[in-house]
Amino acid sequence: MGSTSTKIKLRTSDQKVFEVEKAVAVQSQTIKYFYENGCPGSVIHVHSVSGDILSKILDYCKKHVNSAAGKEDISPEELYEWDTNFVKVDQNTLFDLILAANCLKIESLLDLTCQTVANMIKGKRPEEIRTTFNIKNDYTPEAEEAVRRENKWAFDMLGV
Amino acid sequence: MAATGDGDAAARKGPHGDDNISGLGESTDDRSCYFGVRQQSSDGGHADGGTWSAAPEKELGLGFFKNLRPKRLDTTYYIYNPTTKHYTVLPPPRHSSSRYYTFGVSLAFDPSKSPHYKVICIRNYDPELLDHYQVEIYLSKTGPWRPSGRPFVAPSNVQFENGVFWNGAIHWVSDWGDSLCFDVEEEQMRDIPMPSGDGDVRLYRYFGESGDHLHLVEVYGSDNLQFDVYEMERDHSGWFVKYQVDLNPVAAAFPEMVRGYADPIDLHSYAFSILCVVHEETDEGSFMVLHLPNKAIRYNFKDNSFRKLHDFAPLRSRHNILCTKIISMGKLEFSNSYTESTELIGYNDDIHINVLIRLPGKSLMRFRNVSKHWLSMISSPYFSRCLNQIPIFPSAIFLRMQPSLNKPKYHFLSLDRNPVRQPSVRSFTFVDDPAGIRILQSCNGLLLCCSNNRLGEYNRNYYIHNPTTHQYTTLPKPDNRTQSPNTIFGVILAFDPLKSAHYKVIFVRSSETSPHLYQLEIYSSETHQWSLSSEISKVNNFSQGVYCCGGIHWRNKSGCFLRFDVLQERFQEIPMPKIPDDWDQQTKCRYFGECGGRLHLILTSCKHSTRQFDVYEMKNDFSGWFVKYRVDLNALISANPKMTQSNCHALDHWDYHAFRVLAIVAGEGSGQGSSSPFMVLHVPGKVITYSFKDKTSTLLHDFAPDCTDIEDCTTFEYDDAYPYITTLAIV
Repeated sequence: MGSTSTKIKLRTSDQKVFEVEKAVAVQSQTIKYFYENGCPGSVIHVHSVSGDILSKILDYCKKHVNSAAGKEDISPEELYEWDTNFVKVDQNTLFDLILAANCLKIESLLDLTCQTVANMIKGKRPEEIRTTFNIKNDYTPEAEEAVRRENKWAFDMLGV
Repeated sequence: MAATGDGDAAARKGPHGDDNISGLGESTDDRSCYFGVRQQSSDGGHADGGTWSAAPEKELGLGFFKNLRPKRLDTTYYIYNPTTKHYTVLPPPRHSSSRYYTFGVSLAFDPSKSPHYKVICIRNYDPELLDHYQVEIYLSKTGPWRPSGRPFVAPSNVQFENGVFWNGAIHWVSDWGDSLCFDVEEEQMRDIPMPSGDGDVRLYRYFGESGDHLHLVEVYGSDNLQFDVYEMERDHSGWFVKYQVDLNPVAAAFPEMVRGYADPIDLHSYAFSILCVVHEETDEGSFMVLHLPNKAIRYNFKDNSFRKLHDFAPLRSRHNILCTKIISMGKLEFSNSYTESTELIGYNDDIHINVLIRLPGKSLMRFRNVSKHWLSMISSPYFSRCLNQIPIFPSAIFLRMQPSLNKPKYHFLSLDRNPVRQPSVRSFTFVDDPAGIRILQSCNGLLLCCSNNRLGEYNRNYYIHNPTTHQYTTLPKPDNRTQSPNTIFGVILAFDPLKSAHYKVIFVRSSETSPHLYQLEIYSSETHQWSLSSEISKVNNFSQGVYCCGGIHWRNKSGCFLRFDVLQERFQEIPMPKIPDDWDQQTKCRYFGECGGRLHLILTSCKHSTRQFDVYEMKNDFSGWFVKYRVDLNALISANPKMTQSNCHALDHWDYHAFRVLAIVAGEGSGQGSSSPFMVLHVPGKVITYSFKDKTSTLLHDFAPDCTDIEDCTTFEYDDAYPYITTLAIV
């Protein structure tokens, strides 16, 4: 079956070319759009995704396509477990995956990666968040203190 | 950056003079690149050394799609003169509400006519109307932004972000349909004719101005390297072919242009974009600047000669710089793979919001401290809208404790059954009101509160309180108040964060002319103004109104419901549900409230057993009610013998089985995911949840340890319970 199915060619930012089964590639709404509206057989250029990241993303798509099609006998719990391991990567790779999932429009992967970041930052302090996202603190010390005081009241109020 | 206008300095001197330019550099797009295209700029004329509009837009050009997301109005715009290195910061446009977006900002500056410039901003007119726009205009001479003309309708595909100033007007092209221009003097919007295209969608390659000429390039056909440069007639009547271009010799000289496939962005097999078309005094000198992979070249129109201007190669080792934008508009855009992903993430609001909506309210509160931008992002109605893409459900309830003589106290009871948390008891102290503070209503996360005194109602203070952020505001008193105090029959808060960031508070009071007539006095948080409705003669019970779906609902003792549409200020009657004939007219309302955009009602007969009853839901068109859930409490009653009252009076059949419905948590979107619809019941000594679906109950709280007389513990009614919903809405 694999040999007869349609393949889509993808070229990454570092000029690596991937030949991917159509069913797997069209998990990306962006690729699907270009596949359906572009020239048949042409290479789709994935400008903003590197070969390393695309290769990971294709693993993800393949796993989910196979499990949905029943080609692979995997329970929802096992797939969840697989997803959990999939996002156990360093922060840069995780952000690369988010940017790629966002650009390629792979909804479930974007959910998974954003949820991972949310879990990662949930308990962090604002200073740590600034480092994580490379955000400049544009508060004056007074304004920052005012917001912090406001927060404290709210926390006391809710007993949290 | 797009060069608009021409000539010399227009921008005012920056506050710190020349030295400040490095400070500016942080906020301007540091990925833009400047290189000279001419050996000399002797005549004080044209393309270089003009006035630049430098917007610190953090557009990423993430590869595939042009980022057409409109900008928030709080983006800062600068007018910068790169020759003198002076700049000025534009004041923010009016309408600071984040429901308004800027679709494009263009600079209009012509030093041959005036030393002053104008800035034209296209924003949405009404957040609900997608294709209605409003022009806002800023004059450097007179200052503040003001709306220009009436709102106008434009197709959604007009590229407002790429306005070109020429011949006294800003011009925008459209992917299909009409293109537009805005005459800056007359402040008139007009259609502009376009050359006949080669398909449904126009494939623009360039649209820009040089030496007082407006140029347009379209390239059709994926292998075609021959195209025309159009120029517009001075009277705007149409376009003529100014130059004919053949890039085949260029492609032969620079084989890196050849892609070997049609790029999905520009649908072309050759990689090139036009950075600018430069009109010189003579046609012989006119040229264009092309961006090829890793290079910029200069192409002369007259003799088709070309030469390399600049090599981008040292910037990066990879050779994959490709032109990603169909209209380059003088911008150089690179794919972003060389940039640190952290940096990119740091600029991407969409991704931030996608992460933040998954966080608990506690983290969100704390992260307002990260930066001003995060504060405004987290506090914006857009964010609440993202946060509440599923309808809003309470996570806890405030339960008024009896008796409440002075400073009322409330149990804060979490509905999160896992793990069961002990409720905390508190009174509200967000403001120091000597009489104490009483909750009147909970509406989508905001609480309407008032002073707990029994003096004339108008002497009370009314507060809108956000228990999540602990912010509050005291409602101003109406200014046209007469001395004789009117009776207040009800006060209701109308707030729906999915519709608006603003709320209204409606006072139902006796009319000033007749004691038999009512009048509504309405406060709007948007305008901070009170307005008075016309008199109404409806006799109704105006206490305990419930806000749902844009209207306030009151239950009338005489047997129908009254709905007041807050936006249209219109009343409507809603019939009661059909009750069994043998119920007599003796019905008891056990619950009347809103959850997840649905209005629920429970009625039981005063003469029949209350082991079984129906939960009604209001129909979408407000025409009546239907049975949503059927409830059978037999199993619950068997398991809780204390629910069967021993000392019940003969007439109090409705109270024979002691329970109170405190809240219903159900509505659109509930039932998916973890929590299926349930109600919160108060039974002797306990608060439990009861699932409509599997008819099981779980304990939320046991009052027994503190409660000496369990028989007396059914003291809470549904109107003692106020849902708590996390919201970051600003009051």
